[in-house]
Amino acid sequence: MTTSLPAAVGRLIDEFSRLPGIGPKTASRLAFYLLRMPPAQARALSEALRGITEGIVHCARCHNLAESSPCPVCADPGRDAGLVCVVEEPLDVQALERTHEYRGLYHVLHGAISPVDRIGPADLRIGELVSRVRVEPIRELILATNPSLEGDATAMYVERAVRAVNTDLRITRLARGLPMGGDIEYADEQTLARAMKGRSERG
Amino acid sequence: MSRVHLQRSEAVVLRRHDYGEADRILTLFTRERGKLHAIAKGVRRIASRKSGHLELFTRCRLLLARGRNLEVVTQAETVDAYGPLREDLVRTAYAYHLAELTDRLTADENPSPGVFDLLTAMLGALTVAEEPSLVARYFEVRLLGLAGYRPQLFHCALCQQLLAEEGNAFSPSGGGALCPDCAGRPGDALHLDGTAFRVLRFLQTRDWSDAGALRLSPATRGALERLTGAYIEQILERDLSSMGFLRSLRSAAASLGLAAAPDTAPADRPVAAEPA
Ligand SMILES: [Zn+2]
Ligand SMILES: [Zn+2]
Repeated sequence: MTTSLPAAVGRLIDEFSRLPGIGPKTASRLAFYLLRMPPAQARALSEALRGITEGIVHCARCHNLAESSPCPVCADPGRDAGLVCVVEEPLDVQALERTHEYRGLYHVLHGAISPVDRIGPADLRIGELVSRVRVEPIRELILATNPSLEGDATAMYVERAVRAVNTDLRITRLARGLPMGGDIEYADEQTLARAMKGRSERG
Repeated sequence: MSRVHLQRSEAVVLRRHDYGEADRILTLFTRERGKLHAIAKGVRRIASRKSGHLELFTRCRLLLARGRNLEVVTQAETVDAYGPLREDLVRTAYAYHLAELTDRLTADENPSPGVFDLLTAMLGALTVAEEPSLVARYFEVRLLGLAGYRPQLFHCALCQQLLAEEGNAFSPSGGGALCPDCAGRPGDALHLDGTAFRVLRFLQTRDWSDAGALRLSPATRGALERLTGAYIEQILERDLSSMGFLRSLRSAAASLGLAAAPDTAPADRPVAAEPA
């Protein structure tokens, strides 16, 4: 079907098709959208793409994506190095930073345990976290994996791995509450049970 | 407005993967229609009303609308979340195993209430079982039967003669146990320990209320896992990712110096099995 097209367009469609959630139809639509773009805008996009292959590194300490290692958070002397928040993905760091509530450091695992997708503990940055617990002055580890089966399994595994090298460390899990704007009657039993368990003192 | 055809269904979530911005595609095993695939829109948003009801291994009541390619989940309500499964890594790993086997050994849209009932009963058993591996073995043996792959355990799979309790072999490619005369014929014949053989027969013919009371030694548990594992991998022509996960949990536990699951019983309690 794509044989009547210039090879460069076909290649672009093929590359788009490899992205998650994008089928061949969406890939073609995106490619033709780009073809109609003003040249300056298309160049900006290609510059941005080149930027992520050439200018991005993993922070050697927290494994977040950054332009340099250590990343700005790890390099900031104003952050509390005794607190480490463990998250699945770099986007989770961004979400937590937006709250301006957290002043500690992070550790990015780059995924969650998911046997169906053949992602095991060895595929995540868990060994690196255990090494940090061994050498850094960490008081508390906050497990902020997703509230899903995979996130829970990952948190349990991390807890076991860290406990094996440090029995005194405080390990906490983000509170599970009811979502803003939600109705209690629609909440599932897991969410409700956890919200009840994690209820907080008033005033 | 076109009339939307809605259908009520009771289901267990076997698999799911993210799709688009906030959607998920679910593999469901329903009581009414067997395995099917459905899309749940917006469930990755943290305020979604449906997401908690559509977690992996949750038994839920659904309202499904027929979409163009996939069914669409329009309502979801939890029947049983099997909560304790989610609070223990080993139980979680076994729940993955049950779900993966169900997914791999069943075909789409092939109604099988027996599989649904077995799956929900064994997910429930996993929440309380002292020995989760026994739940897995019972589930495997029963699911193989329901899916049309029942291993032969009472007559030799090759010459059909009645088997004695000792001295047999087990051949995944042959379809079950082999008498001493046939043991050398297929290339993949495995040693069949007498106790493991009696336990397999027991699992194949007794209800869970009896089977769940068995107490097995670590050696017998290991032998059973190797036998059913080899048999299933022969049928699927590939390995199971959930078995790999269980093995990685065990080796990680060993390398971290953590004790594996406690062995509650040092010795097997003798079991007797009768031909079906
Ligand atoms: Zn960093
Ligand atoms: Zn024979």
